[in-house]
Amino acid sequence: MPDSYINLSQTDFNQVRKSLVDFMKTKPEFTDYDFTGSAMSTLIDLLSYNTAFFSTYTNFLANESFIDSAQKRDSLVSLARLVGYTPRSRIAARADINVTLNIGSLVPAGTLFNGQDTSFSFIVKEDIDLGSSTGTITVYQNSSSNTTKNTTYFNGSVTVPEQADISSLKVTVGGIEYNKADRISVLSASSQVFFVDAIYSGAYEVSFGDGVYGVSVPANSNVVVEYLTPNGVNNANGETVFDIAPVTSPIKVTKVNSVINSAYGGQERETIESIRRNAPSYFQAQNRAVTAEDAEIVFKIDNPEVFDATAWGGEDNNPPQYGRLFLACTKNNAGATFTQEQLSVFAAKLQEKTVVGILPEFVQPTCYDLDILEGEIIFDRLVSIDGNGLNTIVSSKIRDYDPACGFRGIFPYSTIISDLVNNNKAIRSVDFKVEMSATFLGNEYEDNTNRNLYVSFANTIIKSTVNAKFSLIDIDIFDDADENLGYIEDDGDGFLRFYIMENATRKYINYRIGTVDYLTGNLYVVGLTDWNAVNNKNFVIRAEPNTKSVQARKQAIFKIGVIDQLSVNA
Amino acid sequence: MISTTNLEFKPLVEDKAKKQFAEQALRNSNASDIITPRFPFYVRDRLPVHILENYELYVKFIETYFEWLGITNNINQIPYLMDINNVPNNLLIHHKELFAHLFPDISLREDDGNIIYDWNNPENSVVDIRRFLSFVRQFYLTKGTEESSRFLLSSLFGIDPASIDFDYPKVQLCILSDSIWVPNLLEDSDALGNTYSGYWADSRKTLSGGVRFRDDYFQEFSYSITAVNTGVFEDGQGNQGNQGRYEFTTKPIKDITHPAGFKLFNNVGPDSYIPAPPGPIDTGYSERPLLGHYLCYRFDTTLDAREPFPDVCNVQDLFPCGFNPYTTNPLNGTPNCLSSAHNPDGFPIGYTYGASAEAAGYTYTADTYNTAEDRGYTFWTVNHHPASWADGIDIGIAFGDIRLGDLVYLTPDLSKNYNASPNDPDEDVSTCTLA
Repeated sequence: MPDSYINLSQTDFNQVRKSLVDFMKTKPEFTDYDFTGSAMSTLIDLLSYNTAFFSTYTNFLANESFIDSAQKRDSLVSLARLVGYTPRSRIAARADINVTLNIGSLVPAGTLFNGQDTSFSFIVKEDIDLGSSTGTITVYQNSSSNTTKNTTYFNGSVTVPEQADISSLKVTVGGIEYNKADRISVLSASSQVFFVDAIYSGAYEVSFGDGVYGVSVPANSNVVVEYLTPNGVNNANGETVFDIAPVTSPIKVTKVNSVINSAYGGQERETIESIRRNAPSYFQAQNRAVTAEDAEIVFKIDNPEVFDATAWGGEDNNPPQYGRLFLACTKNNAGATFTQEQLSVFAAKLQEKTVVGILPEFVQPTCYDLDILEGEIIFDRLVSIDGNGLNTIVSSKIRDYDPACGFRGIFPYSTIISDLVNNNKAIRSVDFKVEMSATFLGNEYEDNTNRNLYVSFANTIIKSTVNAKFSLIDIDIFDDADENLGYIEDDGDGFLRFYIMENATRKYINYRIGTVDYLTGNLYVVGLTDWNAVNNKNFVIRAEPNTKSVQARKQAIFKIGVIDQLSVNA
Repeated sequence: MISTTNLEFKPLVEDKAKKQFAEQALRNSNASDIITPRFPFYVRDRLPVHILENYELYVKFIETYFEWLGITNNINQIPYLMDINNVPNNLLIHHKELFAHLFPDISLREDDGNIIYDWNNPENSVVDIRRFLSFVRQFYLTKGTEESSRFLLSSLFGIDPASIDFDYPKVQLCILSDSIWVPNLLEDSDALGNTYSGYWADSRKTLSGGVRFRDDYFQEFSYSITAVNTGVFEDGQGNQGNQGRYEFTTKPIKDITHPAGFKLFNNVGPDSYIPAPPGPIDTGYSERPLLGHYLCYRFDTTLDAREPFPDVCNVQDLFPCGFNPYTTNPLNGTPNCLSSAHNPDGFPIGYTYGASAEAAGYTYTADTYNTAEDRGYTFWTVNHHPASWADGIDIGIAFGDIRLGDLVYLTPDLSKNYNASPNDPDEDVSTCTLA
């Protein structure tokens, strides 16, 4: 990565002036000139000022010419256009709800629902035939009860405002619906397609073919461009309660039976940093999912409702699964996941762009915790008398760097330590242990017939650091167990063993309750039938990573979990 | 009008301005770099002729100003920023960020240190970066093909594309059968009169039923790249040669062109196997043919990895139910120290190990076939699993217990000058009839 700021010209007036004078003096004609003379000085000043002014402009122009240095969104949009990349527009949140009608089976476009939690309105985008009086429909967050229509067809294009959700575009010409063109190579003169380009100020432009690649639409044609204009975007995500808005039409939804998928996918338009990152990747992919990075960018562009995604080849799995391309994706920044049905749809869509014989397969991401349970803060008595409050500072700083279930998330341990020491005079040094932890909820394992637990931290584990503590079931052999607790640890040789404490002495129950692969961070606990999971007694298993700078890998993502008080010493 | 103490009156000279511009044009045409000033169009186009002809010093002043503007302040670079062929060297890397962002900024050949390319300093690069950038889209369109890998390797490491070979293990492998193991319950004897413990169900004469074994290294999705370094190289032991297999880092290939779902190998000698502990082996290395090393036996070879080097006799036979090629050292007649190292607790290749097998009454005692000839073949070699290296494996440890990252060294056959490999790299596998 180059130094992204391009400094093409000097912009400091004094430096510019000196440079000009020095250069003049190199010429025989001006060697003996007195550049401090009033007339010459004025002229030099004038030229230097003019130069400095335009140098600033020149630098600006140069920086805005490259994707890694441009600062203005419009510049990035133009550069992205150069490689065929259309920055993502606002995306309307959507939800799947099951409804019942009073008449027939058709849910008309424009049927309105009100979100109770978020107060945003959701609509049915197009007529939906349920086939019966009850069925599941997808509703989209929109600023009004109808999609916005734009028929201003001027100079061969229609401008769509920045508030629009471009993925919802519906374009008709003379009543015939046109499709969005993804690539030019499959087009003919009769292809009824439209093109979408991002233009200045965040707006988009819909245009048509030239008669060779796509049908050419003559002037004065009846062009209708219809789209959603979501006003809730990401704030509408998570809506779980939908009220039926009063309607005058005889056909109406009488009841919302259930919410199949609460609202998700609402997003603001793409940030400039995202454009800067995605446009080169898109160019490199050429709309094909060959490499893992190709698959990631192609998938994200084709499914704008996905919050984040990652991809990797099956050869990197452990054990490997050749011939497969794996992806994981999330709905929102809390790591919410899609249903298997939704993932199946994603996979089928992506397969159109993968190498023949390579099957895309989605796996659910798992967001593990990073727990800070012990450590030490050394403080300076000259600055702080007793070190009070330093735990709060440290805890706050750690949370500032929460990887937040991001697929490229990293816990920057060294940066945190450096920030704490450099920015807090009271802290002389700080060190803490980082543990990765996985929680299995008791209420999901009350049936003890399926107690095979699998964890894949995807980070190398230090030997003999795996530990877990859990409630024991009530059977005779555990009568003398201290606090009725069971423990699991690894033996340093790749096996997990189960023990209890009796009078503060370990008693091993099972030397082979599971395995741990230190290199890959995979743990299996097999048949943990002695865990008393009722009444929400969770099972938490922890392990210390080989490096404290834990990284999200594949479907293993992380967030900050428990932060305990660290010891504070002078 | 500018008046200075140095200004002196000059009489009008016919065509003087024309001559001056001719000189200027000549200077510009000889310019070695596009940065050389061509900017003073103002002087040429805008100054009145009478000024040009009568105020030489003023004209010189203005011309000098614009010359400075062009040289020192780089104003004249602006028109060239977007032109790949003319963009100044220091700005070329900014084009890379849009068109080739996954490519490393600099690439060095590890053997001779030559800079293949350096985006920050294109003139020091062997590769013509500007041309590369012009064709990079074509490269992207060929991703996942042999052509794209050849292009990438030659671009990144300066390897001659003609020297790059691709091997597909699925068409090269000779493997053992996955048919079931039949215990020799009748206690039959082999040709040497020894009682053997059992045989593979498909045939006592062949080891393979033609069924391929799937594992990390052998499956339909492996490919191996062999690149030859045509320059002088050193083998790490002070020996120099003119060519050798080129060990390149596979990461850029994996990032840029490797089809996800496939397994890529850089085909080099086992001396390159040693991973940097404790990290995982990202993309393994292998010898050719790749899968000869996965399974312990290869046919029609002429070299035993373990013999005749008695100093490696502490190496455990990793496939204890397999077939030990020698009972005696063919060179000196000494007993094969490995014969007794078979692990009776191991299990045969291709057979599903577990309680069900035991319940079926199968036992896994050491095979008593002693030589390849016993099985109807000329020779077998026994090599380590490419993912199972250990500096020292305890006697008695089973193959399945050996973990990734461990390393077993096998001694190359120095008598054949195979310094890099215990295998014969030139052996003919065309008669490998069991594949």
